[in-house]
This record gives sequence, C-alpha cells and structure tokens, in this order.
Amino acid sequence: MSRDRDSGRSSRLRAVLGGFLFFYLGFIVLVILANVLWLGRPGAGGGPSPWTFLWSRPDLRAGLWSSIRLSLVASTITSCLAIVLAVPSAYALSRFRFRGAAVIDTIIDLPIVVPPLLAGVALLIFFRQFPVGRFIEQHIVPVVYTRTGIVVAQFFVASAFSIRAVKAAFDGVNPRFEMVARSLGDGPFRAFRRVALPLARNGIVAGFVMTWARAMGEFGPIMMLAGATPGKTDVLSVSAFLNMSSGHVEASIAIVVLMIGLAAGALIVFKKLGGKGYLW
Amino acid sequence: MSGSVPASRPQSEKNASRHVHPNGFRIALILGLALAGSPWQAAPESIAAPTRVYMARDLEPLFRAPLAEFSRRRPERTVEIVARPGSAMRKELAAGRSTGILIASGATELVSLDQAGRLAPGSAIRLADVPLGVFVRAASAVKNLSDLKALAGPGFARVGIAARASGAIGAESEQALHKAGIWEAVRPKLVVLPPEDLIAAAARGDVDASVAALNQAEAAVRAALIIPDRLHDPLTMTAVLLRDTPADAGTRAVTDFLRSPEIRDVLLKAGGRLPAPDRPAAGELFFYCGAGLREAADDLIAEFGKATGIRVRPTYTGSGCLLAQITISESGDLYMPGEQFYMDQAVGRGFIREREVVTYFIPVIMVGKGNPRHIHGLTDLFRPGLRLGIGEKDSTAIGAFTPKLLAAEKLSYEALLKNVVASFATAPEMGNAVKLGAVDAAIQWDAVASWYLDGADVVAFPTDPATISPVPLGVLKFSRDPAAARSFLKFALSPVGRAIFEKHGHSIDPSRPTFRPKS
Repeated sequence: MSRDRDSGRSSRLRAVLGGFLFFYLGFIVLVILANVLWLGRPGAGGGPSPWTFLWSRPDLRAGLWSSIRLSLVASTITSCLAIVLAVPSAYALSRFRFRGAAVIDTIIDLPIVVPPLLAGVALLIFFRQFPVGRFIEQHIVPVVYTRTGIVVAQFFVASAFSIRAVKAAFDGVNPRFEMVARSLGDGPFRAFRRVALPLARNGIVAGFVMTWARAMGEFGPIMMLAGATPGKTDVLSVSAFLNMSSGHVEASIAIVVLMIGLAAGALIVFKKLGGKGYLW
Repeated sequence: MSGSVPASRPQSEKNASRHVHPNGFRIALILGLALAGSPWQAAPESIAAPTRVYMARDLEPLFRAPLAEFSRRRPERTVEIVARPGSAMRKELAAGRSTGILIASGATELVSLDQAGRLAPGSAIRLADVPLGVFVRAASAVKNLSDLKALAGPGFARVGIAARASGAIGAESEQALHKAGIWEAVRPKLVVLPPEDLIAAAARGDVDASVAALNQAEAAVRAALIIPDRLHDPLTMTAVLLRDTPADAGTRAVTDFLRSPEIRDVLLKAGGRLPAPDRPAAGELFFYCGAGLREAADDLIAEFGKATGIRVRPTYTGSGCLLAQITISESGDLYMPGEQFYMDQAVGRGFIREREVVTYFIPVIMVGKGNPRHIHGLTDLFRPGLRLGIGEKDSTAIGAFTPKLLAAEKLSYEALLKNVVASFATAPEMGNAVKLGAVDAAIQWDAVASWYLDGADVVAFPTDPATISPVPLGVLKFSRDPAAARSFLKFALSPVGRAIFEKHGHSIDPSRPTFRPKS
C-alpha cells in the first residue's frame, strides 16, 4: 500500500519535474521553430520567401560560407589553446595550496563577468595603449583589426570557462589515487598523466565544449578588437550583425538558425567523442 | 543633324577585348618611346617663359583651377592655358609651330598630331582613363538607369551627343550606342553638340540627356548612368609635349605637377581611373565606416580599387563605437560616420586631417507594408495608441537628429516619446523592427528605409534643407598614407562616387531632398 503511494508520489514528482524541463525545452524549440518557419514563409507583398531571397543572392551565400569556415576554424583554435592552458593551470589551482589562490581564482573569472563589448574595449586599450601590448603588436604578431584578433578576443573571454570546468574535474579526483600511483613507483608527472588526467577527462571535454560554444557566439570583443570587415574578420556572429546593419535581416536569421544547427551538431559530436557518459 | 554622322564603324576587332584601344598601338608607340630617351631629362636651365598648355575646351574647367593654383604657388613659372574647340585646336597645332604641352582626351588628337609629326616622341604621360556617362538635369525625375538601352525608351526624346569630328568623345559615344545595340533606335533623337556644350544643354533641359565624359560633370547635372567599359573605350587623358618644345625647367615643373598627387586627386574627383604604372604604391587603407552606410561603402571601395589599385579595408559598426576604436587604437585612415555629430567630436579631438560632405540622409517615416495604421505625416505619429520606434538619442545619428527635426517642424519631442515603445541602437535595427512588425512606425533615414521596401513602406514628408543630415567623410590624422586616403575622399565626391551613393538610395543634392528608392 505504502509502496503504491510512494510510486504514485514519485510519478507525480516526475511529472512536475518533467513539466519544468519541458517548459524550458518547449520554449527553446518554439523559438527555433519560429525562426525556421519565418525563413520559409512567403515574403510580404507576395515576394520571395526570405530563404529563396537568400539563395538568389550569390554574394550573401558566398559570404555565409566564408563566415562559417572562419567561425569553425577560429573557435576550434581558440578552444585548443584554451585547453592547453587550462589543464596545467586548473591542476595547479586544484592541487596546490598557496597564498593568493583566492585572488587568482577571482581574476580568472573576471573576463566572464565583464560585459563582452567592454572586454573588447579593454583589449584594444591593452594592445594599442599599453607598452606590453604595443610590443606584441609591433614585434610579435599584429592583433588589432586582424584575424589573429578574433582568436585573441575569443581566448581572452572564453578561456576562463575551460579553467573553471577542468578545475572542477580535478577537484573531484581524489588526490589519494595519485598518491597510490606514486607509492607504486610512478613519478609525479606519470601519476598525473595516468591517473588524474583520465579521471578528469569528462571535465576537460566539458571545458572544451563550453569554450568552443562561447567562442562561436562571441561578438562584442571580436568587433572591437578585430573589426567587422566583410570577408576578413566576419565570423558568423559578426556577419549576422553586418547583415542586420545593411537590411538583410533574412541573412541574419539564416545565420541564427545555422549557428543553432552547427552548435547543436558540434556539441553532440564533442560530447560523444570525448565524454562517454558525461551527461547521460 | 544626326544624319551627318556615319551610321557604323568597324567594330569586330574591338569587340574582342575591351582592353585593346582602337588606337592603342599608336598610343603605345608614343608612350613606349619614353623608354628610349626622355626629353624631360635634358634640362638646360633657361629664363622662365610662360609654358603653354593646350587643351580642348571641354577639359578647361578641370585644369583651370589647379593650374592657376600652380602659378600662384610658383610665380616664376607662369602657365598659360590655351583652350579651343577640339577640331580647331587640332588644325592650329598641326599647321603651326606652337610649342608647349598638350592635354588630350582620347586618341583622336594624339593620332592626327602624331601623323603630322607635331608631337615630341616619347613624351606622353598617361594621366587617367575617363569613362563616359549619361547626364540628366540634377532635378530631373529620371531615375538612375541600369542600362544604356534605356536611352532608346520613351523617356528620352532628345539626346545630346558630341560630333564625331569634334574628337574622341563623339567617337566613343557612338561606339557605346552601337555596342548597346540601340544606335538605330536612338539615332533620330540625337542632337549633335560641341563637347563643351553637352553638359550645359542637359542642365538647361534642351536635351533630356547628354552622353559626355565624366570629367565634364557639374553640379547642375547628375550622372544617371556610368557607361560600362565593355561598351566603349574609356577616354585616355594624356599629356604630351609638342615637337620642339624646349625641355626647360618651366616645362618640367608643369609636367611634374601633372604627375603630382594633386592632379591625381583632380582626375579621381572627375571620375577618372589612374593608369596602372602611375598608381601609388599598393598599401592598404583602413576605413571606419558607419554600419548604415555599408552598401554604398562596399561599392565605393570596389570601384576605388579599380580606379587606383589602392585596397581599402573597412570595418562597419555604429558611428560612436567607431569613434571609440579610433580614439583607442590611434590608427586607421578614413572615417565616415552617419552624422556630422560624430565627425565634430572627431574633429574636436584632433583626429581629422580634412573632411568633406559626401552624401546626405533625409528623414522619412517608415511604416508597415501597406501602411495599415494610415500614417501620412509627422503629426500622425502623435496619435494615441501608436507603437513607435526611434533611434537611441545619444548613440545613433537618427536618434540625435529626431529632436532637431521635430523642433524644426514645431512639434514636441516629449509628446512623441509617449508613443515610443522602443529606442534602437542602430538605424538598421529600427528598420528590422518595422519590417518584423515590432513597431508600427519609425522615424528613419531615407537610404536605410529603402533597404526594407520589400517588407515596409515609406512615408516621405516635405523636408527643407535645414532638416537633412550631411554625411561627412574624413581623412584621419593617423593615416600612414594620407595622399591615398585623400584620393579616396576625392573619389567619393566624383561622379562615380555620387552615382554609387544614389544607387543605394542616398540623396546627394541637399537643395532638392527627395526620397528616391534605390534602383
């Protein structure tokens, strides 16, 4: 009797929880659907549908392809760099106790908190008005208004996500496993590579995915630091803005839909590839 | 009149490639000899005698001011302009023993004078290639043409054209009409005029349109079409020494001047394209451009590249944001904000080397397709219940401009705000909002509104010149190549630049603001 009641309660709970989940899920899906349908509906005044209009403009289409390529390449480079940086940094933050750790932790979070456009302004000031940035700009690699600027802007803003996620993963790995490995003869590096790293794999994948997703969607800092130059620094988000700015709202919405599709596809692939059982 | 003009001329060879000038070989010969031995080099100093510069009358307006400036700056080198109708000048120079410099437009004069042995071999300097255009009165209701074939249509009863005998303009104009396949249709309408009268006749309305060289353009006319190169050979403007002209310092000073960036800018402003060897070194200009001007700017950049070989790299965003980028980065060459307001700030900070107004924005009301809320003027916007959009007052040009507009019309901005449901950070965002039905109406720039005509309508209202907004283009102090940046500015002011702005729905004539949807 009581078991029946329990199971009744639990199914009610499930329904309630599911309700919340599906409310949000439905919201997202409907918004996407609205955009997709808008692209396909007949144009105002009997004109072509936005989608047909888009495909009748080879210039817009060509721009779209180059933007997709640029976005994918830049975000992937950024995420790889971010992970290379994040694994050792996060491990250090997680394992070593040292003075000022809390301060460091806070500083790392700053780029996430600063409004994106202002992060761009801050970067521009660094590279053009500060001696260190000027030196880099003049003697190592030009950043301002270049494609390099895209990666730098993405890296600055999105790397924190990698460090966060990877640190959380290392925090969850009990240091005693590494101790055991070392007591069995592994050096510290070998213990890290054979024990901590594999155990933190899901977190590393999550960090990569979050950085990649954030980098894909980044706009403000890229526009400020790399400029919004068609055919050169117009990643998808910038391209959507540029199209919006010249009246091609169709192209912008197409980019929105496309980005959702691309992002969804990429997230699934990344999660499947590296994160067995990470979310499910 | 037109009957006196031969009906056709051999073309088959010329059709093969637009780069082959009919007299290209001969010109190449004249230019090529320059390599053998340049008469400019042997330069015995002599007492300054006035250097005579001969040109057909239609070129005089172009060179008068710069050559006068040259004389003013260097009083010891006097220059005397001798301008005659083309055929008379040819006869005079062919027969006489006059010395000096000849500036010729097209090959006709060069070829006949070369045959008469009157040109100093190897002395030619190719100044620019100037395309032909179809000019109409600036106030004419005629929209810009997409094709020369339009001249055959009913809108044009009388078309001015230069006589073939008068020089290259006549010959090239005819060629263009032939290649467009409308020679027979247009022939009865042709009014043959001396080249220097083509523009005046169009401005007076004696003819509905004139085919003339772009360098002849004046404020009273507008280039409704720039005839594409495939239809004719652009007129090559050439400076050449007459035989026996002493290669003295005076002559050299003038020819050096003709090659200077100053003359280059004059030629660019006249719609000319610089010949490849004389192009400035291939640098790259960085151009901060207001996002609302993107379409026109894209075209401007492409055409400027063709005319000069100079690459321009734009970045497009809100005018205020661009100003921030300029302030911080202290780099770049050109700035074109959507309103004077931003240019004034840039000038105030000392960023601007020089600037000029290149086009104008005119305010209009943007409404939903079919005007469902029946808005016919500014006063209708105050009706209760209307959902209005305006530009953000501090960060957009249209937003900053709206209160000024209402004040000029003696309407209250505060009263309008009661109906405002959204203010937008850029003019195009506001356009999208009307198109997507988020607001019922918005006060918008004409050129921006014209992008949305597929999904929105425009209600134009009478505007006086005080309520239109100039769009300035400035050369930045930070420019590493100010001469090239300046060339871009001059190019934006040329008939080619003006035609581009018009094509994208901008008004270029402040005295007659009219909403003209982009063609």
